[in-house]
Amino acid sequence: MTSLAVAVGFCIAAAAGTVLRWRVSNALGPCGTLLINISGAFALGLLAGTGDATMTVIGTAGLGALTTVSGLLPESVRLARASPLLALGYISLTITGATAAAAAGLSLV
Amino acid sequence: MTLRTARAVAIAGVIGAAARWASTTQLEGAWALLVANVVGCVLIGWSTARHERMRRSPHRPGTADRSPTPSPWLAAGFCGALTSMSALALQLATYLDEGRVGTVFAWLGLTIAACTLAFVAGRTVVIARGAQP
Repeated sequence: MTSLAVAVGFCIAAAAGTVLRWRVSNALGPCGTLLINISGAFALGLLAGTGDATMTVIGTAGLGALTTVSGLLPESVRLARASPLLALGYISLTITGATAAAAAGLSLV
Repeated sequence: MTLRTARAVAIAGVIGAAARWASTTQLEGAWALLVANVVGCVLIGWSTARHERMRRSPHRPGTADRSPTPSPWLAAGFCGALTSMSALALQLATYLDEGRVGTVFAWLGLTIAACTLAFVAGRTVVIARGAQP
């Protein structure tokens, strides 16, 4: 893959990942973000060990932009207003779920 | 949710992802990701606090932003794509695969503490400015 193809692919993948996360999070709220983060981590685990170009375009740009850390915090603040335990559970579930999903993806390659 | 907003979110997402990728050319992978996550959390803290203040503003009722979320291009677009949960999860899963359980907990603790402090710091800047006479 040429540098130009990687650059174009990077832009398309990052734009698609960002807009998909935005739409799903708007539609489903924290559950949507949780689903996106766990499925994105699983897909990135599956991609580990692929070539540099694939990892840059699909991994760094597409899945990197699809998943988010910053989005968790405002959602956790909103959940904490209802119940601090709910916010703590949401953050814990996201991190442990995403790590377990990435490990599961890694184990399949 | 107009096409124009979606376009702004997409462009900001490309810039955020490119900034995260660029940070890996300057720093070792795990540190680069930590820096990207912390910068994104400062900005999202600043953005959400600023948005809340604008919604509450009694001075500009006709022009204040009444939407329930901060600027989508900055929050969901730039900050969302600058930070990455999948990259963090893969980093932690790789350490686990290598049997480095202590390193997993160290990175986890460092990331959670740094991102939370960054978020609070971003909010504090807006709140402190709002409190000034």
